Amino acid sequence: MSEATNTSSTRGAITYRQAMHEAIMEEMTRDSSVVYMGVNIGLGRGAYNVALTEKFGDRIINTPICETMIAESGLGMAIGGLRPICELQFGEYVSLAHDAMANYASKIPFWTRGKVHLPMVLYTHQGAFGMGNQHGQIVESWLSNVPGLKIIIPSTPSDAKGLMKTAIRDNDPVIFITPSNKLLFGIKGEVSEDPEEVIPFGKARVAREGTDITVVCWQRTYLQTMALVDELAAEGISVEVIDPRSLIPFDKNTVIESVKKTGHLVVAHEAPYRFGAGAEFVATVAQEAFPYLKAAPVKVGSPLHSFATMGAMEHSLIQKDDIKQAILNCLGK
Amino acid sequence: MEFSHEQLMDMYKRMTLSRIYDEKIQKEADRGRVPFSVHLYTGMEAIGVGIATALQDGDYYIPSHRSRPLYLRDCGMYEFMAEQYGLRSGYNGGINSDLHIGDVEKGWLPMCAVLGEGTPLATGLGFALKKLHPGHAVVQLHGDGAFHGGMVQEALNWAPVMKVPVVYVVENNFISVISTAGISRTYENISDRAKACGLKTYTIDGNDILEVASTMHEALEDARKNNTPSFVEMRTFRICEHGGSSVDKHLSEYYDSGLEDQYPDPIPRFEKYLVENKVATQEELEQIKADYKKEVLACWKKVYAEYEDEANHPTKEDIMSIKMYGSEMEGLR
Repeated sequence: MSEATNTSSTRGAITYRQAMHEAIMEEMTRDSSVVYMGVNIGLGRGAYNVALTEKFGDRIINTPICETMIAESGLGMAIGGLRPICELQFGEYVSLAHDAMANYASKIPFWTRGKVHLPMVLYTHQGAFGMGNQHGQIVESWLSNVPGLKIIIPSTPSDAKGLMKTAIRDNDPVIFITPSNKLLFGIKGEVSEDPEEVIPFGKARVAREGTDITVVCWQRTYLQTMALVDELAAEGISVEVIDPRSLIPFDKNTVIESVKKTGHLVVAHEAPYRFGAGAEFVATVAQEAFPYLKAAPVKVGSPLHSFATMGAMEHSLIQKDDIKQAILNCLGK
Repeated sequence: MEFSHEQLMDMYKRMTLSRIYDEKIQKEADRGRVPFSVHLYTGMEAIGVGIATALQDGDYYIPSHRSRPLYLRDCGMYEFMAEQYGLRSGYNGGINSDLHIGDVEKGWLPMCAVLGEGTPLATGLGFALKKLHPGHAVVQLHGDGAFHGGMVQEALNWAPVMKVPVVYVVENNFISVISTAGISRTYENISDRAKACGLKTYTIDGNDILEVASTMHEALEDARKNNTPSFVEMRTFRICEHGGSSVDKHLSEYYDSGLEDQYPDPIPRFEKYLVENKVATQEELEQIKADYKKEVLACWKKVYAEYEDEANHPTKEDIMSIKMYGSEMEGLR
């Protein structure tokens, strides 16, 4: 697939993984205060690469399997003037880093009355991909009710690179969550090679223009929705697809502008459907764009249930057809 | 280690000021004239003062749950007390009380109320100092109650691997809020566990100001010059309640344990030393105490009078204008 917004590349599509590698390489080259730490970092596993160690020496920190310490010590590094990227291999480990983010990273600016901010990227991966329900849950909402944090949820290789570069340059604690499922992390897209090309936070991307209904979706559901739009177009339904790219900052304007045009809203996410980020989009549109709505907005997510290891996980995760049904329901069809 | 006359008298004055301040606050807390819970340092002053003696500009300090009054003199008694009473004229504008009082730019971090957080922060901060400001060190304190937490162990275990210039201090007062040490551990020396992690360790009498100061000078020099992390178990006795001063019946076991005789009040002990070694006469010491009593009383009268006038409290505007983010953008609120 090729959903890149940047088209300056002449080298062809690269994978999500390569895009993340490039972003981190480029930013570490640009700024010597950036350090990259996590479990097995530098050993050529996951998003990281041996070449990083060779080039950056002790700025690549391979840690023990202690995710609480990774996050907390990252904050200590930020206090001391470094800009750490702390990687957690799986999203669930944010529960071990929760104290660092919810109780410290987000509080230092307040305690210091805005004088001190902690630039740190907590980089992790979410989404079911067959490794069980402790390595694949959606965690984007677990920390999204804490003022002081930023939460980035890119869906394409191009966005992931451009947003990661912004995250590393940003002066606040950023939780950067890429999709870990094989479909997404292995997908390819055209990605800019320009090291100064960054994507600012807070601007949702209209991935496809349409006139009948707005669908807000990201990561797994973004792929599912993009796979639906042609099929729906053939049935006479024109879908506008919006990828929010971040939860905090929350770009309500792009969604509201779209709803003004379509009058219909569906929000689809892989997270369980209740108390997920979808509720915030629906509530915001209901409060601020009610007169434009032609029907009640619909949110759809995975069941309020757990999921299996390996292929049977699909039984309790949101499916493409669930999104299609939500669209049809919203349109009264 | 030899200390000059000036250093010895400085230690005495700091300890005495801390004690007299605490006694006043305790008395007023009993009278219902302190607006917030108090965590007194009574009986443990030698630890914080001994550490303060060994710190240099550019070093960082992460205090424990009750070592805060030591900064009375550094931030000014009025500013400290006004902060404790939540006044706009307080050291942090009255938003932190003495709980999270701090000055990150001076290297003095706010106390972590999630106990144990400070240890991994110190490890990360030590790494940053080593890279960016070699020749400086971090001192981090917590009590024996916090010592058993997971993140403390993670961070102590990693410190020798990273060779960070950090001195970790445990104020071992053998009590966790109102529970005696037996509910937490079966072994005698807390420092044995740090030794097992590969840290250089010391186990000392924390109520002997000269031993505390000498040990801290040695450990800090080793950290600054050789990036050697060390761990100092300082044994002491908490004369007061955990918070406030009413005696909880559960504390009988603690008060009757004989620990108080083993680790007697550090101030009379130091007075005896100063007089016997002709550093000062008892009359001179009494005069210092009398002067501080007057000073604290005058300060308290001023602060309490101001406290009674709502106009001196932070306004909604004061609170809401604090910049929670270092990189501002739309969609953050």
